[in-house]
Amino acid sequence: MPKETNAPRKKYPPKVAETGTRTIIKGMFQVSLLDSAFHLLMAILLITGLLIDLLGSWLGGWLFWIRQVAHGYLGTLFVIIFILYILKALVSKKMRTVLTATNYVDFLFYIALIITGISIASANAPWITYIPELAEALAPIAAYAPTIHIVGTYVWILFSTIFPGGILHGLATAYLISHLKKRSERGA
Amino acid sequence: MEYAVLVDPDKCIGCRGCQVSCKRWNDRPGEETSFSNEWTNPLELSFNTYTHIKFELEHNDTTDETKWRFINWRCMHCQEPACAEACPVNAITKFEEGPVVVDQTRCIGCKFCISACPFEIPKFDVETGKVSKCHMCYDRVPSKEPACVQACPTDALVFGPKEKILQLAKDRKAELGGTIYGDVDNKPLGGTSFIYVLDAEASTYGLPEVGESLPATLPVMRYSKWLLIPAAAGGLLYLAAWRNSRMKEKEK
Repeated sequence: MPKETNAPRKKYPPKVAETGTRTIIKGMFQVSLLDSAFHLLMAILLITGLLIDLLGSWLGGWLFWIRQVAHGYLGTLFVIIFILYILKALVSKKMRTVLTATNYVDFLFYIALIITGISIASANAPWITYIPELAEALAPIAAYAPTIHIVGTYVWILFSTIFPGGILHGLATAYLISHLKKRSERGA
Repeated sequence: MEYAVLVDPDKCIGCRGCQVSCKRWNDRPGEETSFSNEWTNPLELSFNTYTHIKFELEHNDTTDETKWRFINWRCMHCQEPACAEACPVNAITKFEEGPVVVDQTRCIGCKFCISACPFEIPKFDVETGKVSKCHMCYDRVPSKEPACVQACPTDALVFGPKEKILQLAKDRKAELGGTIYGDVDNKPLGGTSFIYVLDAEASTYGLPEVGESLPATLPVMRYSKWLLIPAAAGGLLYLAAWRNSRMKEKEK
């Protein structure tokens, strides 16, 4: 049983006690659409990817739309958002001050996952014929792309929990958001 | 019992009867084609074209003679299919009779099979979002031979029990003085159910050089999910350490 202490309880900003999870998420998007979209899409891609790889043998064809829409089309959107996110990091000194060394390593993982993802998606895709330079550049990794994509994800998860990086950061954020109201009610 | 098809390009006359019968049996629509420098038509296999005849015009500079080489091309139906190993939803099955079949209802269109296949056989369709390829007429075999074999007028394609086909291949190899691709001389991915007997090197026919066992990258991909265990352990340790430090902080 935790001991009772006289330590002052954390003060949360006013009105937080009245806000729900939905309001907080809405607020996040209002503060930075790019940041929120980047994190939300990354979470969706990670969850759907794990779903396909871990439960694919059981769920089979049920995962078709998840692969097509949530991992495919949203994956394309993520590539665009990621480019904008990197550009923002390059131009914004304020943003760079909050990025740690682990974040930069995380970025390298995302770049590897994005390149291999594009390589996998480009196979037999009509759009690749319009960009022959890209097809040529991706050709050497075509046979290894799925392996790099899958193994890269698991290595990133491992790296991310040990150091800690994006995964623990994401879990902590989700925990904080879901418990903010309860905690603020107790502590306010 | 395992069955196989013997492909004998030396007997092929390039009539494309196999292409037509494949389309008819599988009820696949025709492809829009165009003129090209090659006579191969359609130029590539696709979601709707499971087999085609590759036309190769060979010119001998010393004798100034030209020779046509026709070769029936489609899925090789490997003993250890790389496509099946790569599929995350187990949509591809190798049957003991020989066929390697894509279950369209299970396919999620991830294209891993396309990357994994060293023969570049599976093809993706944008409209359906699925992958397809030759299935060796698994709905006919073994009571009837595959549709392409039935249509071949020159016995360039012969269907039968694998042992019998291998014997036929060896006899034919002795006649031609060539090589057997798919088994005996060259066993890509543990051997294949389509066996070529060639009068020249496999590379002359544009057949790829493929190793006898699965590429090491595929098992690595399959078993990498076990990395989640140390990751979860690492996460829990981190959580425990964090909680510990918080408790100490509170005590202070």
